[in-house]
Amino acid sequence: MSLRSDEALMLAFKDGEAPAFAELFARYKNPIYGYVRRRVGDPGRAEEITQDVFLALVQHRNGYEVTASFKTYLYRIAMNRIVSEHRRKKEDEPPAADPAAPGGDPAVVQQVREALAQLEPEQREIVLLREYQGLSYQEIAEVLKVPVGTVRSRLFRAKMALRDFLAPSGSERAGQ
Amino acid sequence: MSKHVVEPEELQAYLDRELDARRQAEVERHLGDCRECQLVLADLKRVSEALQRWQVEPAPASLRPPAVEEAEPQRRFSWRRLSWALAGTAVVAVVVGSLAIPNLLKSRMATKPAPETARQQPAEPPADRKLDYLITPPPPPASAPARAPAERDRRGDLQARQAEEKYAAGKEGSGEAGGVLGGAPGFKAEGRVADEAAPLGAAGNRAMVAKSAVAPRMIAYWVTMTVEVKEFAPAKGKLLKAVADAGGYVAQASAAETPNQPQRADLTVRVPVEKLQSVLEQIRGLGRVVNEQLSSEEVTAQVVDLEARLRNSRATEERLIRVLQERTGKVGDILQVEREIARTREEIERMEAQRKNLLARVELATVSVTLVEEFQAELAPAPVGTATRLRNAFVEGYENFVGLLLGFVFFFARNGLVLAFWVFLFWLGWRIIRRPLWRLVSSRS
Repeated sequence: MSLRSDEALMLAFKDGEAPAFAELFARYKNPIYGYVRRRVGDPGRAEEITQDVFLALVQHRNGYEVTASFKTYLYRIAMNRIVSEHRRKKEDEPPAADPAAPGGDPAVVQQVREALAQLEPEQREIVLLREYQGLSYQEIAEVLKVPVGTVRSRLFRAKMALRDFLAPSGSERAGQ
Repeated sequence: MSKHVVEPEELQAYLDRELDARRQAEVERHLGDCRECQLVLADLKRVSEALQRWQVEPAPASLRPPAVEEAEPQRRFSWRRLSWALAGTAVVAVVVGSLAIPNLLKSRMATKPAPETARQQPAEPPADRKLDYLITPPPPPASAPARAPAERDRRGDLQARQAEEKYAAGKEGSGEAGGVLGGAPGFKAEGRVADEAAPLGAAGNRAMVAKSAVAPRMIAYWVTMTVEVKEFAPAKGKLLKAVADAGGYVAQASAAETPNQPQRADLTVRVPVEKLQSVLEQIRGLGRVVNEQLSSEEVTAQVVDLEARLRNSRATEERLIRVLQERTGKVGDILQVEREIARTREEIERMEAQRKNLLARVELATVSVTLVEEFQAELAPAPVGTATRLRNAFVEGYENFVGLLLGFVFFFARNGLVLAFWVFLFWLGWRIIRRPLWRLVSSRS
């Protein structure tokens, strides 16, 4: 894997360097899949949507300009694809059941999913991008097209709301 | 409890190391003292830890990067897409057609030549000659080969012409037959041809057509000028003198003099066409020429047509007079012939008046001159009082308001249906392209 930045790789791909795209795909296939996977219950559909995201990247490569980071560009494509998917399926909430989710106690996973489902969509999006995708506040702001201060305040309020579902202790206990 | 020097949401940012170094250190110091903030921070950490218990599997191995060749957008045939394209094309065609067709019709009407008259308005005359070149009579339209038979025809018909001239001179006694065609020099020699009485019948018509072909062009000129002068009264006097010296006259004059406003006079003068150039030069010399425009109208066809009808009427009159002289019919028939003679004479006189009028237009050019004094503002001798000015302002404001309202009413009365049509068209177009446009934007982003 080279040390070139994402933006440099994308520009190289735009200029016809196919291996550059392969490297971008290797860097982002898991993060994008994970992001889509948490928003779409069906693993098969999540894989298709991830494929669509990279397909769109290829199809629109000529329109790419380095006006923002490549990461936010890619996440914005993914977010729009997910929104289209939800609109197509006439649903705005993630499915309640996810039997295929590995990596932990299904009951705990279900508890986390239900807690996230309680949040406002804007708050949930920020939590997902921050806690699971590791995007900085600035990057989240670019993906969602909102000010950084809004990201910070929404994230705090979302975490406080999640505390009541996931970790009812600490300050809450101290306040009692 | 210590005083909070940090916002609660800064605790999350502190946890995510999203604060700048100085603020990060301040929050850290505050956390050392504030038990409440320590508990909030601990809660935030616990929430993050709880969230991390939801992990998803890595991307499946079947997820492969799309091949670049396969990823090229391929447009497959679709009846739906075709129908949208046709609908869009129809809308564009309607819009373009509604814009282009009226203009096209206008341009065709504008380029269609007038059947009887031809106006000449030079776009850019040479600066040194200005309008001189238009005043010179243009060459006759007939080409040399076409003129030769006409000349022969004219010579062959000499005897008949002489007899008819004698008849015309004796009959009318007016002495104006021929010779005045075209006031400009050079018109007289050929101008006689057009005034000759031709014999009736096919041979006469042929001769008349041939003669018409050699008739000179008769052109009526008129000039419009605006001249700005320093001394108004002397300039006006010079203008009138120039017209009188040229043998012309003032056909119409009006003047206006308003306090604190430049003087202005509008004069329409008629001058012999051969003196037109010199008169124009003198008018130009009066001051600064603001604008000048020369127009002309060819009246040859009208004159030729009028003269042909005149010849026929005269011949008819002559025949009727012969019938009357023979006196072989009943009294009623004689009275009928006399009525016909009177009617024919009336026609002849009317046509002669028209002909004289046309020839006068050719002989005398019309010059419309607007003399404007150079404006020199002066103090108003008696300023209007404030109350009057206020009242006038109110009246003016009211009139403007009413005018504006009426303007709106007239505008919508005049254009309401067209506007409604356009609004409907745009609404329809928006309905048609809205969804494809939305899809296009969402797919590009």
